[in-house]
Amino acid sequence: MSCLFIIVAVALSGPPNASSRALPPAAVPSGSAREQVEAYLSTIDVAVNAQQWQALGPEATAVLVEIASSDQQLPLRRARAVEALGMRKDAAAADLVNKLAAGTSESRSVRMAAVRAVPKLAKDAAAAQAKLSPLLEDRDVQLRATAAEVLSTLGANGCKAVSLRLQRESGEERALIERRSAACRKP
Amino acid sequence: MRSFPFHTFIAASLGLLCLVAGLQGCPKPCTPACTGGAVCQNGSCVSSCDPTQCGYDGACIDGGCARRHPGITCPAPTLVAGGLVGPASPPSGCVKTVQPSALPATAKQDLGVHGVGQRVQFAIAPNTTSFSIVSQAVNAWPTIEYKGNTFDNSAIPDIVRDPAGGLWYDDNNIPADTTTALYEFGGQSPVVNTFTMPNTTPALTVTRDGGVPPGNWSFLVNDYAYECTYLSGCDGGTDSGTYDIKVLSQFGPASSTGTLDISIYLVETAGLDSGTALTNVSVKRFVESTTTLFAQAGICPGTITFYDVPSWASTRYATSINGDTTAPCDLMPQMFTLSQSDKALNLFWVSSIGGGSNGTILGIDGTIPGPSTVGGTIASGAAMSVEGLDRGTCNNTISAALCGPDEKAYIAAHEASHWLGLFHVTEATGTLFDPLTDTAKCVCRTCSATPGGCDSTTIVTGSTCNGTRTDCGGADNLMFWLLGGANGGKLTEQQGEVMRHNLVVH
Repeated sequence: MSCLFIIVAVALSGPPNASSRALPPAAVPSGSAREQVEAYLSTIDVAVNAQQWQALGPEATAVLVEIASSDQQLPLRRARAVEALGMRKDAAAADLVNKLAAGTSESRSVRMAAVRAVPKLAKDAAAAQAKLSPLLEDRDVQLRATAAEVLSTLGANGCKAVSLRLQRESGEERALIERRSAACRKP
Repeated sequence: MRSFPFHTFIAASLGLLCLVAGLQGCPKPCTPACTGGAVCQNGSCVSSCDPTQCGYDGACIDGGCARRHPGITCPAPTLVAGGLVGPASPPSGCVKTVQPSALPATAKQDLGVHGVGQRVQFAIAPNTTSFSIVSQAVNAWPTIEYKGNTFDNSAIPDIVRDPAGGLWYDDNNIPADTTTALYEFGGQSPVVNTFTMPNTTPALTVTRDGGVPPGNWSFLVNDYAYECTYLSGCDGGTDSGTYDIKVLSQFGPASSTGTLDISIYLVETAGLDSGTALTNVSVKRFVESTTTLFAQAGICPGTITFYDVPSWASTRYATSINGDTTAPCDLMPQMFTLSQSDKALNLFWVSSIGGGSNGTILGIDGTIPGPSTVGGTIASGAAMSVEGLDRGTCNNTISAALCGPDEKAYIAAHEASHWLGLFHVTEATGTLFDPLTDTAKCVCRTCSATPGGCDSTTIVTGSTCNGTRTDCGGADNLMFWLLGGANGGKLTEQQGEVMRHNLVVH
């Protein structure tokens, strides 16, 4: 059997990676909803995609909200829970996600996950933009870049907001935001 | 006639009386006798051990305090402030130049630049315990198309033969059961590939006593683009690729212990710099737990050097690297080119690692294994998310779920072990396993409650692979695909052997 053949075989949902082998599409871990969520929050170098999170069913939402809300949980676990709520389009979590995105005392990874989840839970692009545009003023350039990245997927109005912000950026920070909002410059 | 002491006579008499009395008030003996500090209470061995008194990483095992992660006793590593490294301004283009090895001349053979398809010979001296063939692209096609998928053009030595002509690796003839193979290739190594041998049970068995068979070995310089010239269903083939070839050796005798130096690049500072990291309490716990996990393999971290990186690099890489975009000129491989030329294992602390359209990941390696002693390449590092280093509640139990420094230590040890040549003991599907025979496997069709979904939707998890059924173990291994619980993070003897054979372990 060819090594290339094996690599194709394990690359079930995207290109293979040295240490991150893809999960089967729509995979479902065994056990209760909490066990399923815990399994996906515990992956080290294997990414879990939207289809896989959605396959867990409605019972997973409460577990994810509980983890995402708790400041007793480690930031990376919370961030992944927030990310999952976005991927699952759990509208019940919209208020929590908006609050976390704007919460300047939250960990960066939690906020970034929330920023990415905002448009997935918002009722439309305009509502998402209203939540995200203020974040272009955040003091953390990584947060601004993430907001710009998400806004760049929301059409002309999102790109206009990014463009205005870019006029006030310079150097490597400007380069970062430009790179992350590259979708605005695609034909 | 031999006489017994009076108290023995009394005890024997009482025993006889109790035997006669049966259950009427006399304590029952314990059969078999209690061991390990347990005491007999009415027929049952009861632990006299208080787990709260067992100290760091301690637990009550067989009635007494013991380490959850038994291993060698390591001295505290030496922490060093390496200061600022890397260019003051960002490079103007993609960096993927051929880099030297930091090994002394006696341990490396620079074989020069060779074209794909060319057979190259190299000498293995007696007393060699492992060798690494490092292929670095001088001129290589970037990608290929195979069966409708695009792949980076990985380099991989092919038709590797020992001095007697024995075949050790054929990239087009991989055994389905890799525990029978003499070598396993992890894939995904464009521009730089490191072929480190031994990394399977059969290879460990062959080399364990006498080392690597000495004499002239040979292999074909090779990459996927070259294989595309003769494989069906493959597009983008070319036989014009050229690679710089080095063979790096580790000499014996093989040891059951070793030292590993680690470099940590503070791309995400976590509020630290290379100076303050040395005395930070969370870093101290991180170091302690990392040391505990490695000590199981007989490996002690020796010197841990913290490096600051220029602000442009921090801004560029802290939250932007992505596990799905790992082509040579993408951000993560370019970040790894900041690594120094030395004999350390390079860990890049970043804020977060994206997964493209997929979710985030906690860590990732440039390649498996890493190009040990060859710094500055696109594969010369492992990245890990360090956010939350100072969060959580840490107690005597190493907990990746509750204690921030322990979570980081677990990720660091897992990714570092990939660098050192280990694969996941069982992949998520429960259908792919590492090439070692002493690691517990978790076979989907045997272990899953929904075996009908194996090969499609079923994955194996900690509760499935907890070792309560035959062939359903491995969740407690450091190289399981999920973070482990309190008893997680274990390593086996063969895993330790593979790790100690890596060139960065001395």
